Amino acid sequence: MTEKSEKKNSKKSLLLFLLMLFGCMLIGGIIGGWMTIQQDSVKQYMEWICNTIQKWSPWMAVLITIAGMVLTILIYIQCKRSVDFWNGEDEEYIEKLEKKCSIGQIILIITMIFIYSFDAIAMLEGVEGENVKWIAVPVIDLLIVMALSTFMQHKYVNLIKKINPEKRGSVVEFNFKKTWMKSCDEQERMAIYRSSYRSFQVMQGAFPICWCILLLLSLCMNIGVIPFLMIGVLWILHTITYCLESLKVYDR
Amino acid sequence: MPLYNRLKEYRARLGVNQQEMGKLVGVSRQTISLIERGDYSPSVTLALKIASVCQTSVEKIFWYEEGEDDGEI
Repeated sequence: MTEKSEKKNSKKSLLLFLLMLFGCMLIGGIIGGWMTIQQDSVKQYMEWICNTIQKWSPWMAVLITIAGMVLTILIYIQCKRSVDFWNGEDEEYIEKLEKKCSIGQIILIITMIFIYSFDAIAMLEGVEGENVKWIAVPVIDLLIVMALSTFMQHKYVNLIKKINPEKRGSVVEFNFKKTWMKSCDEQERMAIYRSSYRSFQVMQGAFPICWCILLLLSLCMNIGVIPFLMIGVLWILHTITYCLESLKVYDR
Repeated sequence: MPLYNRLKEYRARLGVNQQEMGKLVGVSRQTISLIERGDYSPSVTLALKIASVCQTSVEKIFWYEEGEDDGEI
């Protein structure tokens, strides 16, 4: 690329950036203005959404636990059976199997995150309504999910270790992630680094979006200071961890 | 990917599967599979190890051709 065309491209990018900035400001202004005018109806609508989620959260938690865990266990059983039939030669077969194993693990993690959220909301419903039943159900559900997910993670890790005997570590071990990482080769580490960087990029976009949503909501209802503080702390932690780790890498 | 290879051919000459080849050079079966497919460019160290196991030079297994690099993350 010549210097002239590079300058032209840079000008074009700047113009596009300014246009985007102006567009975002305009959209933000319109939404903010509309939310202030429609304050009461937005507040009512948001309260209805929150109340509905809170009311249904204990059932949602139980339903997600059953659905997520059943799916995870079924995938595991399928994978385990398939591993026993592997002749050690068919590469396509084992690649498909490894992919299936990853899907099972992803479902397990997503189930856990949903359960943590819904059980916390369900507990809130129980505390607010002074209903012991709705405090006990999410606590028991959470304990079951924690025990089951650890057990299933252990099972999946053992299955991966059976396919890849060079892998080390156990889920119940305190330094599991460190031991696992040590047993990964250069390609696997590169895959982990790439995925981590993608996750960093996504989160750096998600933080300002969450902040904007909270700011707009605060215009029409009292959401308190905790959501802003939480976003701030997470955003700082995320950015500083990345920067410090980058500095460490260059220091080496 | 501008890096091409004949790893599959050399592995067949050795008479080992991907898992065994991985064990010989100290990487996973998946890494060997990705290298063979041209989806992963090994480090110099790994390329040298592979060449040493195949008892040949690196250039005979790996060669480079100018082209679009997908270095984007």
